[in-house]
Amino acid sequence: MRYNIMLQIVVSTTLILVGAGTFFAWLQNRPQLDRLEGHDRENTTLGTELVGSQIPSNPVEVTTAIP
Amino acid sequence: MHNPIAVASLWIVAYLLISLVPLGVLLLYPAPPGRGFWLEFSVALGFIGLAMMVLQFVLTARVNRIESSYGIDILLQFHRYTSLAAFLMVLVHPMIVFINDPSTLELLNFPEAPWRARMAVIAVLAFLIMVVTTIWRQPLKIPYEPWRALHSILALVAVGFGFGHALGVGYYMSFFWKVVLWSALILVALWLILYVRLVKPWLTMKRPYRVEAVEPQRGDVWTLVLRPVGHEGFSFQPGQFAWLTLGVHPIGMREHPFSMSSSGDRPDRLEFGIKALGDFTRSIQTIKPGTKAYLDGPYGVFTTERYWDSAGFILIAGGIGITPMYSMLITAAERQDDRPFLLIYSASSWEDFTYREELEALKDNIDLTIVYVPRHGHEGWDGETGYVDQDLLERYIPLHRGSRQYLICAAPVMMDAVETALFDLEVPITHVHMEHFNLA
Repeated sequence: MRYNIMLQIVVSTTLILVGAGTFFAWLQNRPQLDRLEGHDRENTTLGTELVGSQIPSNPVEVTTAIP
Repeated sequence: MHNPIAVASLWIVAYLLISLVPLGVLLLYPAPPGRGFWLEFSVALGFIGLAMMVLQFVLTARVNRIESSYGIDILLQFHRYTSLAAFLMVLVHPMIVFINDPSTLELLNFPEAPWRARMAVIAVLAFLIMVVTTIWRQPLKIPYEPWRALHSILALVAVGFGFGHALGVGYYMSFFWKVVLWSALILVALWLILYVRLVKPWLTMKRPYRVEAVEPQRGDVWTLVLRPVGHEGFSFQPGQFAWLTLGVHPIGMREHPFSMSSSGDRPDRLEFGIKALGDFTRSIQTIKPGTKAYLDGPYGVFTTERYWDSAGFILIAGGIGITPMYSMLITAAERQDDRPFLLIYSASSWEDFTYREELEALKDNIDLTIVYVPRHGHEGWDGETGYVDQDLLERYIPLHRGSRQYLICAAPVMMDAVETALFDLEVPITHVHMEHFNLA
Protein backbone atom coordinates (compact mmCIF):
# COMPACT_ATOMS: atom_id res chain seq x y z
CA MET A 1 0.00 0.00 0.00
CA ARG A 2 2.80 2.42 0.92
CA TYR A 3 4.63 1.54 -2.27
CA ASN A 4 1.41 1.97 -4.26
CA ILE A 5 0.88 5.43 -2.81
CA MET A 6 4.50 6.30 -3.53
CA LEU A 7 4.15 5.04 -7.11
CA GLN A 8 1.04 7.17 -7.56
CA ILE A 9 2.99 10.19 -6.28
CA VAL A 10 5.82 9.49 -8.75
CA VAL A 11 3.35 9.16 -11.65
CA SER A 12 1.49 12.34 -10.58
CA THR A 13 4.64 14.42 -10.15
CA THR A 14 6.02 13.18 -13.49
CA LEU A 15 2.78 14.11 -15.23
CA ILE A 16 2.88 17.55 -13.59
CA LEU A 17 6.47 18.02 -14.78
CA VAL A 18 5.70 16.91 -18.34
CA GLY A 19 2.60 19.13 -18.27
CA ALA A 20 4.75 22.05 -17.14
CA GLY A 21 7.17 21.31 -19.99
CA THR A 22 4.29 21.34 -22.46
CA PHE A 23 3.02 24.63 -21.01
CA PHE A 24 6.51 26.10 -21.27
CA ALA A 25 6.78 25.07 -24.93
CA TRP A 26 3.38 26.57 -25.64
CA LEU A 27 4.28 29.83 -23.87
CA GLN A 28 7.46 30.15 -25.89
CA ASN A 29 5.57 29.60 -29.13
CA ARG A 30 2.48 31.71 -28.81
CA PRO A 31 1.63 32.79 -32.36
CA GLN A 32 0.91 36.33 -31.16
CA LEU A 33 4.51 36.75 -30.07
CA ASP A 34 5.75 35.96 -33.57
CA ARG A 35 3.43 38.49 -35.10
CA LEU A 36 4.32 41.18 -32.59
CA GLU A 37 8.04 40.59 -32.62
CA GLY A 38 10.06 43.78 -32.33
CA HIS A 39 7.49 45.80 -30.40
CA ASP A 40 7.66 46.60 -26.75
CA ARG A 41 4.95 45.62 -24.32
CA GLU A 42 3.34 49.03 -23.98
CA ASN A 43 3.01 49.52 -27.73
CA THR A 44 1.67 46.04 -28.35
CA THR A 45 -0.89 46.42 -25.61
CA LEU A 46 -2.20 49.61 -27.14
CA GLY A 47 -1.77 48.26 -30.64
CA THR A 48 -0.90 51.76 -31.87
CA GLU A 49 2.43 51.12 -33.55
CA LEU A 50 1.61 47.93 -35.38
CA VAL A 51 1.98 48.26 -39.07
CA GLY A 52 0.52 46.70 -42.19
CA SER A 53 -0.03 42.98 -42.05
CA GLN A 54 1.05 42.83 -38.37
CA ILE A 55 -2.21 44.40 -37.25
CA PRO A 56 -4.40 41.60 -35.97
CA SER A 57 -8.01 41.42 -37.04
CA ASN A 58 -9.08 41.44 -33.41
CA PRO A 59 -7.05 43.81 -31.16
CA VAL A 60 -8.51 42.21 -28.02
CA GLU A 61 -6.74 38.99 -28.99
CA VAL A 62 -3.38 40.81 -28.68
CA THR A 63 -3.94 42.38 -25.31
CA THR A 64 -5.14 39.12 -23.75
CA ALA A 65 -2.16 37.17 -25.03
CA ILE A 66 0.52 39.40 -23.47
CA PRO A 67 1.72 37.87 -20.14
CA MET B 1 4.90 21.80 11.65
CA HIS B 2 4.18 18.40 13.20
CA ASN B 3 1.58 16.87 10.90
CA PRO B 4 3.61 14.15 9.12
CA ILE B 5 1.36 14.12 6.04
CA ALA B 6 1.69 17.91 5.69
CA VAL B 7 5.49 17.70 6.05
CA ALA B 8 5.68 14.86 3.51
CA SER B 9 3.49 16.86 1.10
CA LEU B 10 5.70 19.92 1.49
CA TRP B 11 8.77 17.89 0.47
CA ILE B 12 6.94 16.80 -2.68
CA VAL B 13 6.02 20.41 -3.48
CA ALA B 14 9.67 21.37 -2.93
CA TYR B 15 10.74 18.55 -5.27
CA LEU B 16 8.39 19.84 -7.97
CA LEU B 17 9.47 23.45 -7.52
CA ILE B 18 13.18 22.65 -7.67
CA SER B 19 12.60 20.55 -10.80
CA LEU B 20 10.73 23.41 -12.46
CA VAL B 21 12.66 26.50 -11.30
CA PRO B 22 15.35 26.16 -14.01
CA LEU B 23 12.58 26.16 -16.59
CA GLY B 24 10.71 29.01 -14.89
CA VAL B 25 13.80 31.22 -15.00
CA LEU B 26 13.78 30.98 -18.81
CA LEU B 27 10.42 32.70 -18.87
CA LEU B 28 12.09 35.82 -17.45
CA TYR B 29 13.81 36.25 -20.79
CA PRO B 30 12.23 36.95 -24.19
CA ALA B 31 11.15 33.84 -26.05
CA PRO B 32 13.40 32.87 -28.97
CA PRO B 33 11.75 33.48 -32.34
CA GLY B 34 10.33 30.66 -34.39
CA ARG B 35 11.95 27.62 -32.77
CA GLY B 36 8.70 25.70 -32.81
CA PHE B 37 6.70 23.92 -30.14
CA TRP B 38 8.44 20.56 -30.36
CA LEU B 39 11.95 21.94 -30.05
CA GLU B 40 10.94 23.98 -26.99
CA PHE B 41 9.19 20.92 -25.51
CA SER B 42 12.33 18.89 -26.07
CA VAL B 43 14.41 21.59 -24.35
CA ALA B 44 11.95 21.63 -21.44
CA LEU B 45 12.22 17.84 -21.01
CA GLY B 46 15.99 18.08 -21.10
CA PHE B 47 16.11 20.75 -18.39
CA ILE B 48 13.54 18.98 -16.21
CA GLY B 49 15.35 15.66 -16.63
CA LEU B 50 18.67 17.25 -15.64
CA ALA B 51 17.13 18.95 -12.60
CA MET B 52 15.57 15.64 -11.54
CA MET B 53 18.97 13.95 -11.88
CA VAL B 54 20.53 16.59 -9.63
CA LEU B 55 17.76 16.01 -7.08
CA GLN B 56 18.63 12.30 -6.92
CA PHE B 57 21.80 13.32 -5.08
CA VAL B 58 19.63 14.88 -2.37
CA LEU B 59 17.38 11.83 -2.12
CA THR B 60 20.30 9.49 -1.53
CA ALA B 61 22.31 11.75 0.79
CA ARG B 62 20.71 10.31 3.95
CA VAL B 63 19.30 13.72 4.90
CA ASN B 64 17.64 13.00 8.22
CA ARG B 65 14.90 15.60 7.85
CA ILE B 66 13.70 14.18 4.54
CA GLU B 67 14.24 10.57 5.54
CA SER B 68 12.23 11.00 8.75
CA SER B 69 9.19 12.05 6.71
CA TYR B 70 8.98 8.86 4.69
CA GLY B 71 11.39 6.16 5.86
CA ILE B 72 14.55 5.33 3.98
CA ASP B 73 13.01 2.43 2.04
CA ILE B 74 10.28 4.61 0.54
CA LEU B 75 12.81 7.33 -0.19
CA LEU B 76 15.10 4.94 -2.06
CA GLN B 77 12.19 3.46 -3.97
CA PHE B 78 11.13 7.01 -4.87
CA HIS B 79 14.73 7.59 -6.02
CA ARG B 80 14.55 4.49 -8.27
CA TYR B 81 11.26 5.46 -9.88
CA THR B 82 12.00 9.18 -10.31
CA SER B 83 15.40 8.30 -11.79
CA LEU B 84 13.61 6.18 -14.37
CA ALA B 85 11.23 9.07 -15.11
CA ALA B 86 14.24 11.41 -15.49
CA PHE B 87 15.94 8.86 -17.75
CA LEU B 88 12.87 8.68 -19.99
CA MET B 89 12.78 12.48 -20.24
CA VAL B 90 16.48 12.63 -21.05
CA LEU B 91 15.95 9.94 -23.71
CA VAL B 92 12.87 11.55 -25.28
CA HIS B 93 14.63 14.95 -25.36
CA PRO B 94 17.00 14.10 -28.31
CA MET B 95 14.42 11.85 -29.98
CA ILE B 96 12.11 14.82 -30.45
CA VAL B 97 15.01 16.81 -31.89
CA PHE B 98 15.83 13.98 -34.33
CA ILE B 99 12.22 13.57 -35.45
CA ASN B 100 11.72 17.32 -35.70
CA ASP B 101 14.82 17.76 -37.82
CA PRO B 102 16.29 14.46 -39.15
CA SER B 103 19.50 16.23 -40.22
CA THR B 104 20.41 16.48 -36.52
CA LEU B 105 20.97 12.72 -36.53
CA GLU B 106 24.44 13.56 -37.78
CA LEU B 107 25.18 14.71 -34.25
CA LEU B 108 25.35 11.02 -33.29
CA ASN B 109 28.45 10.62 -35.45
CA PHE B 110 30.72 10.76 -32.42
CA PRO B 111 34.14 11.48 -34.07
CA GLU B 112 32.71 14.25 -36.25
CA ALA B 113 30.15 15.69 -33.86
CA PRO B 114 30.78 18.90 -31.89
CA TRP B 115 31.67 18.59 -28.22
CA ARG B 116 28.21 19.59 -27.03
CA ALA B 117 26.75 16.57 -28.84
CA ARG B 118 29.52 14.26 -27.64
CA MET B 119 28.85 15.30 -24.07
CA ALA B 120 25.16 14.54 -24.52
CA VAL B 121 25.96 11.06 -25.86
CA ILE B 122 28.33 10.36 -22.95
CA ALA B 123 25.75 11.59 -20.40
CA VAL B 124 22.98 9.45 -21.87
CA LEU B 125 25.25 6.40 -22.07
CA ALA B 126 26.33 6.86 -18.44
CA PHE B 127 22.69 7.17 -17.43
CA LEU B 128 21.80 4.07 -19.46
CA ILE B 129 24.58 1.99 -17.87
CA MET B 130 23.47 3.24 -14.45
CA VAL B 131 19.88 2.17 -15.03
CA VAL B 132 20.81 -1.24 -16.49
CA THR B 133 23.32 -2.11 -13.76
CA THR B 134 20.85 -1.08 -11.07
CA ILE B 135 17.76 -2.88 -12.33
CA TRP B 136 19.64 -6.03 -13.32
CA ARG B 137 22.44 -5.94 -10.74
CA GLN B 138 21.68 -9.40 -9.39
CA PRO B 139 21.16 -11.20 -12.74
CA LEU B 140 24.38 -9.54 -13.94
CA LYS B 141 26.05 -10.76 -10.72
CA ILE B 142 27.57 -7.40 -9.87
CA PRO B 143 28.68 -7.37 -6.21
CA TYR B 144 27.14 -4.64 -4.05
CA GLU B 145 30.28 -2.62 -3.24
CA PRO B 146 31.69 -2.24 -6.78
CA TRP B 147 28.16 -1.48 -8.00
CA ARG B 148 27.81 1.30 -5.45
CA ALA B 149 31.12 2.89 -6.42
CA LEU B 150 30.25 2.61 -10.13
CA HIS B 151 26.80 4.06 -9.47
CA SER B 152 28.29 7.17 -7.85
CA ILE B 153 30.84 7.69 -10.65
CA LEU B 154 28.25 7.23 -13.41
CA ALA B 155 25.85 9.62 -11.65
CA LEU B 156 28.56 12.30 -11.60
CA VAL B 157 29.44 11.66 -15.25
CA ALA B 158 25.78 11.80 -16.33
CA VAL B 159 25.04 15.06 -14.50
CA GLY B 160 28.41 16.67 -15.29
CA PHE B 161 28.27 15.92 -19.02
CA GLY B 162 24.56 16.74 -19.13
CA PHE B 163 25.37 20.16 -17.71
CA GLY B 164 28.26 20.51 -20.14
CA HIS B 165 25.94 19.68 -23.04
CA ALA B 166 23.44 22.33 -21.92
CA LEU B 167 26.24 24.90 -21.65
CA GLY B 168 27.59 23.89 -25.06
CA VAL B 169 24.24 24.24 -26.80
CA GLY B 170 24.25 27.62 -25.23
CA TYR B 171 21.05 29.29 -26.33
CA TYR B 172 19.30 29.29 -22.96
CA MET B 173 22.43 28.82 -20.88
CA SER B 174 23.77 32.15 -22.10
CA PHE B 175 21.37 33.89 -19.74
CA PHE B 176 23.12 35.10 -16.61
CA TRP B 177 20.65 33.86 -14.01
CA LYS B 178 20.36 30.54 -15.77
CA VAL B 179 24.08 29.92 -15.45
CA VAL B 180 24.05 31.03 -11.80
CA LEU B 181 21.15 28.71 -10.99
CA TRP B 182 22.57 25.66 -12.73
CA SER B 183 26.02 26.23 -11.31
CA ALA B 184 24.49 26.34 -7.82
CA LEU B 185 22.54 23.13 -8.44
CA ILE B 186 25.60 21.31 -9.77
CA LEU B 187 27.72 22.51 -6.84
CA VAL B 188 25.10 21.27 -4.36
CA ALA B 189 25.03 17.87 -6.10
CA LEU B 190 28.83 17.70 -6.05
CA TRP B 191 28.95 18.66 -2.39
CA LEU B 192 26.33 16.05 -1.48
CA ILE B 193 28.17 13.22 -3.18
CA LEU B 194 31.46 14.33 -1.61
CA TYR B 195 29.72 14.56 1.77
CA VAL B 196 28.15 11.10 1.55
CA ARG B 197 31.13 9.31 0.03
CA LEU B 198 34.05 11.12 1.71
CA VAL B 199 33.15 13.57 4.49
CA LYS B 200 30.66 11.36 6.29
CA PRO B 201 32.91 8.26 6.20
CA TRP B 202 35.73 10.45 7.49
CA LEU B 203 33.54 11.66 10.38
CA THR B 204 32.49 8.06 11.00
CA MET B 205 36.14 7.03 11.17
CA LYS B 206 36.66 9.49 14.02
CA ARG B 207 34.20 7.47 16.13
CA PRO B 208 35.36 3.86 15.95
CA TYR B 209 33.86 0.84 17.70
CA ARG B 210 35.34 -2.50 18.66
CA VAL B 211 33.66 -5.88 18.34
CA GLU B 212 33.21 -7.20 21.87
CA ALA B 213 31.51 -10.48 21.06
CA VAL B 214 29.79 -12.45 18.33
CA GLU B 215 27.14 -14.62 19.95
CA PRO B 216 25.13 -17.36 18.23
CA GLN B 217 21.34 -17.21 18.51
CA ARG B 218 18.49 -19.42 17.39
CA GLY B 219 17.55 -19.38 13.70
CA ASP B 220 21.07 -19.00 12.25
CA VAL B 221 21.32 -15.49 13.70
CA TRP B 222 24.43 -13.95 15.23
CA THR B 223 24.43 -11.10 17.71
CA LEU B 224 27.26 -8.68 17.05
CA VAL B 225 28.13 -6.69 20.16
CA LEU B 226 29.96 -3.38 19.68
CA ARG B 227 31.57 -1.04 22.21
CA PRO B 228 32.47 2.56 21.38
CA VAL B 229 36.18 3.38 21.55
CA GLY B 230 37.07 6.86 22.86
CA HIS B 231 33.55 8.26 22.63
CA GLU B 232 30.12 7.67 24.13
CA GLY B 233 28.46 5.82 21.25
CA PHE B 234 24.94 6.87 20.37
CA SER B 235 21.47 6.38 21.77
CA PHE B 236 18.69 5.67 19.29
CA GLN B 237 14.98 5.19 18.93
CA PRO B 238 14.25 1.46 19.25
CA GLY B 239 13.68 0.01 15.79
CA GLN B 240 16.18 2.24 14.03
CA PHE B 241 19.17 0.97 12.06
CA ALA B 242 22.73 1.97 11.30
CA TRP B 243 25.17 1.41 8.43
CA LEU B 244 27.85 -0.97 9.65
CA THR B 245 31.40 -1.25 8.33
CA LEU B 246 33.52 -4.07 9.70
CA GLY B 247 37.28 -4.37 9.62
CA VAL B 248 37.86 -2.05 6.67
CA HIS B 249 38.09 1.68 6.13
CA PRO B 250 34.60 3.28 5.93
CA ILE B 251 35.53 5.08 2.69
CA GLY B 252 35.70 1.62 1.10
CA MET B 253 31.90 1.70 0.65
CA ARG B 254 31.50 -1.70 2.28
CA GLU B 255 28.82 -0.63 4.69
CA HIS B 256 25.61 -2.55 5.26
CA PRO B 257 22.38 -1.54 7.03
CA PHE B 258 21.37 -3.46 10.16
CA SER B 259 18.77 -2.83 12.85
CA MET B 260 20.00 -2.49 16.39
CA SER B 261 18.64 -5.24 18.64
CA SER B 262 19.72 -3.73 21.96
CA SER B 263 18.07 -1.10 24.16
CA GLY B 264 17.92 2.35 22.60
CA ASP B 265 19.04 3.82 25.90
CA ARG B 266 22.36 1.95 26.07
CA PRO B 267 24.76 3.88 23.83
CA ASP B 268 27.77 2.17 25.36
CA ARG B 269 26.78 -1.29 24.15
CA LEU B 270 25.19 -1.64 20.72
CA GLU B 271 23.97 -5.00 19.53
CA PHE B 272 22.93 -6.14 16.04
CA GLY B 273 21.03 -9.34 15.28
CA ILE B 274 22.36 -10.52 11.92
CA LYS B 275 21.05 -13.54 10.03
CA ALA B 276 23.46 -15.41 7.76
CA LEU B 277 21.78 -14.82 4.40
CA GLY B 278 24.30 -13.22 2.01
CA ASP B 279 28.07 -13.08 1.50
CA PHE B 280 28.64 -10.42 4.14
CA THR B 281 26.16 -11.71 6.73
CA ARG B 282 27.52 -15.26 6.44
CA SER B 283 30.96 -13.93 7.32
CA ILE B 284 29.76 -12.35 10.59
CA GLN B 285 30.33 -15.58 12.55
CA THR B 286 34.03 -15.45 11.61
CA ILE B 287 34.56 -11.92 12.96
CA LYS B 288 37.02 -11.94 15.82
CA PRO B 289 36.45 -9.92 19.00
CA GLY B 290 38.63 -6.81 18.87
CA THR B 291 37.88 -6.15 15.18
CA LYS B 292 37.40 -2.46 14.39
CA ALA B 293 33.92 -1.39 13.34
CA TYR B 294 32.33 1.87 12.19
CA LEU B 295 28.71 2.97 12.42
CA ASP B 296 26.78 5.62 10.53
CA GLY B 297 23.47 6.15 12.22
CA PRO B 298 20.94 5.97 13.65
CA TYR B 299 18.46 6.13 10.78
CA GLY B 300 14.87 5.09 10.23
CA VAL B 301 11.34 5.94 11.27
CA PHE B 302 10.32 2.38 12.06
CA THR B 303 10.08 2.92 15.78
CA THR B 304 7.57 2.95 18.62
CA GLU B 305 9.03 6.23 19.85
CA ARG B 306 7.13 8.32 17.31
CA TYR B 307 3.78 7.23 18.76
CA TRP B 308 3.86 8.44 22.31
CA ASP B 309 0.07 8.73 22.50
CA SER B 310 -0.67 5.25 21.22
CA ALA B 311 -2.59 3.04 23.66
CA GLY B 312 -0.41 0.10 22.72
CA PHE B 313 1.42 -1.68 19.92
CA ILE B 314 0.91 -4.67 17.66
CA LEU B 315 4.30 -5.94 16.49
CA ILE B 316 4.27 -8.43 13.61
CA ALA B 317 7.63 -10.05 12.91
CA GLY B 318 8.78 -12.72 10.50
CA GLY B 319 12.17 -14.41 10.93
CA ILE B 320 14.98 -11.91 11.35
CA GLY B 321 12.33 -9.14 11.39
CA ILE B 322 12.28 -9.75 15.14
CA THR B 323 15.48 -7.68 15.55
CA PRO B 324 13.93 -4.18 15.66
CA MET B 325 10.94 -5.55 17.60
CA TYR B 326 13.23 -6.99 20.23
CA SER B 327 14.91 -3.60 20.58
CA MET B 328 11.48 -1.96 21.02
CA LEU B 329 10.44 -4.47 23.68
CA ILE B 330 13.69 -4.42 25.63
CA THR B 331 13.69 -0.59 25.60
CA ALA B 332 10.04 -0.55 26.74
CA ALA B 333 10.96 -2.88 29.60
CA GLU B 334 13.83 -0.66 30.69
CA ARG B 335 11.58 2.41 30.55
CA GLN B 336 8.85 0.58 32.46
CA ASP B 337 6.38 1.28 29.67
CA ASP B 338 2.95 0.22 30.95
CA ARG B 339 1.21 -0.04 27.57
CA PRO B 340 0.17 -3.43 26.15
CA PHE B 341 2.37 -5.03 23.47
CA LEU B 342 1.15 -7.87 21.27
CA LEU B 343 3.90 -9.65 19.34
CA ILE B 344 2.84 -11.92 16.48
CA TYR B 345 6.00 -13.76 15.55
CA SER B 346 6.38 -16.10 12.58
CA ALA B 347 9.33 -18.44 11.89
CA SER B 348 10.06 -21.71 10.10
CA SER B 349 9.95 -23.86 13.20
CA TRP B 350 9.84 -23.63 16.99
CA GLU B 351 13.62 -23.88 17.12
CA ASP B 352 14.01 -20.90 14.79
CA PHE B 353 12.39 -18.28 17.03
CA THR B 354 15.37 -16.00 17.68
CA TYR B 355 15.50 -14.45 21.21
CA ARG B 356 12.74 -16.88 22.33
CA GLU B 357 13.95 -17.23 25.89
CA GLU B 358 14.72 -13.51 26.19
CA LEU B 359 11.25 -12.60 24.94
CA GLU B 360 9.63 -14.94 27.45
CA ALA B 361 11.66 -13.29 30.20
CA LEU B 362 10.43 -9.84 29.13
CA LYS B 363 6.87 -10.87 29.98
CA ASP B 364 7.77 -10.36 33.64
CA ASN B 365 8.59 -6.70 33.03
CA ILE B 366 6.04 -5.43 30.50
CA ASP B 367 2.47 -6.18 29.42
CA LEU B 368 3.56 -8.48 26.59
CA THR B 369 1.52 -11.14 24.79
CA ILE B 370 3.37 -13.31 22.27
CA VAL B 371 1.69 -15.35 19.55
CA TYR B 372 4.24 -17.71 18.00
CA VAL B 373 3.38 -18.83 14.48
CA PRO B 374 5.72 -21.63 13.33
CA ARG B 375 5.20 -22.76 9.75
CA HIS B 376 4.72 -26.32 11.02
CA GLY B 377 4.00 -27.16 14.64
CA HIS B 378 6.07 -29.80 16.38
CA GLU B 379 4.57 -32.73 18.18
CA GLY B 380 2.39 -31.59 21.03
CA TRP B 381 2.19 -27.99 19.70
CA ASP B 382 -1.30 -26.61 20.12
CA GLY B 383 -0.64 -22.99 19.16
CA GLU B 384 -0.98 -21.22 15.83
CA THR B 385 0.74 -22.62 12.74
CA GLY B 386 1.08 -21.66 9.07
CA TYR B 387 1.09 -18.04 7.94
CA VAL B 388 0.06 -14.74 9.50
CA ASP B 389 -3.14 -14.22 7.55
CA GLN B 390 -6.33 -12.21 7.97
CA ASP B 391 -8.11 -14.86 10.06
CA LEU B 392 -5.20 -15.12 12.48
CA LEU B 393 -4.89 -11.36 12.81
CA GLU B 394 -8.62 -10.97 13.41
CA ARG B 395 -8.38 -13.36 16.34
CA TYR B 396 -5.77 -11.28 18.14
CA ILE B 397 -5.90 -7.62 17.24
CA PRO B 398 -8.24 -5.43 19.32
CA LEU B 399 -11.72 -4.57 18.15
CA HIS B 400 -10.90 -0.86 18.34
CA ARG B 401 -8.32 -1.11 15.56
CA GLY B 402 -7.26 2.53 15.70
CA SER B 403 -6.28 2.31 19.37
CA ARG B 404 -2.95 0.66 18.44
CA GLN B 405 0.01 1.27 16.14
CA TYR B 406 0.94 -1.70 13.94
CA LEU B 407 4.59 -2.33 13.07
CA ILE B 408 5.50 -5.03 10.55
CA CYS B 409 9.01 -6.31 9.84
CA ALA B 410 9.40 -9.48 7.78
CA ALA B 411 10.21 -10.78 4.31
CA PRO B 412 8.63 -8.56 1.63
CA VAL B 413 6.00 -11.16 0.68
CA MET B 414 4.82 -11.51 4.28
CA MET B 415 4.83 -7.74 4.84
CA ASP B 416 2.67 -7.17 1.77
CA ALA B 417 0.25 -9.94 2.78
CA VAL B 418 -0.04 -8.70 6.38
CA GLU B 419 -0.44 -5.10 5.24
CA THR B 420 -3.31 -6.08 2.91
CA ALA B 421 -4.93 -8.18 5.64
CA LEU B 422 -4.73 -5.29 8.11
CA PHE B 423 -6.39 -2.92 5.65
CA ASP B 424 -9.11 -5.50 5.01
CA LEU B 425 -9.63 -5.57 8.77
CA GLU B 426 -10.13 -1.80 8.64
CA VAL B 427 -6.96 -0.84 10.45
CA PRO B 428 -6.35 2.87 9.62
CA ILE B 429 -3.64 3.24 6.98
CA THR B 430 -1.79 5.81 9.10
CA HIS B 431 -1.43 3.25 11.90
CA VAL B 432 0.49 0.68 9.84
CA HIS B 433 4.27 1.05 9.68
CA MET B 434 6.91 -1.05 7.98
CA GLU B 435 10.38 -0.76 6.60
CA HIS B 436 11.72 -2.83 3.71
CA PHE B 437 15.39 -3.68 3.94
CA ASN B 438 16.05 -4.33 0.28
CA LEU B 439 18.01 -1.11 0.05
CA ALA B 440 20.61 -2.11 -2.51
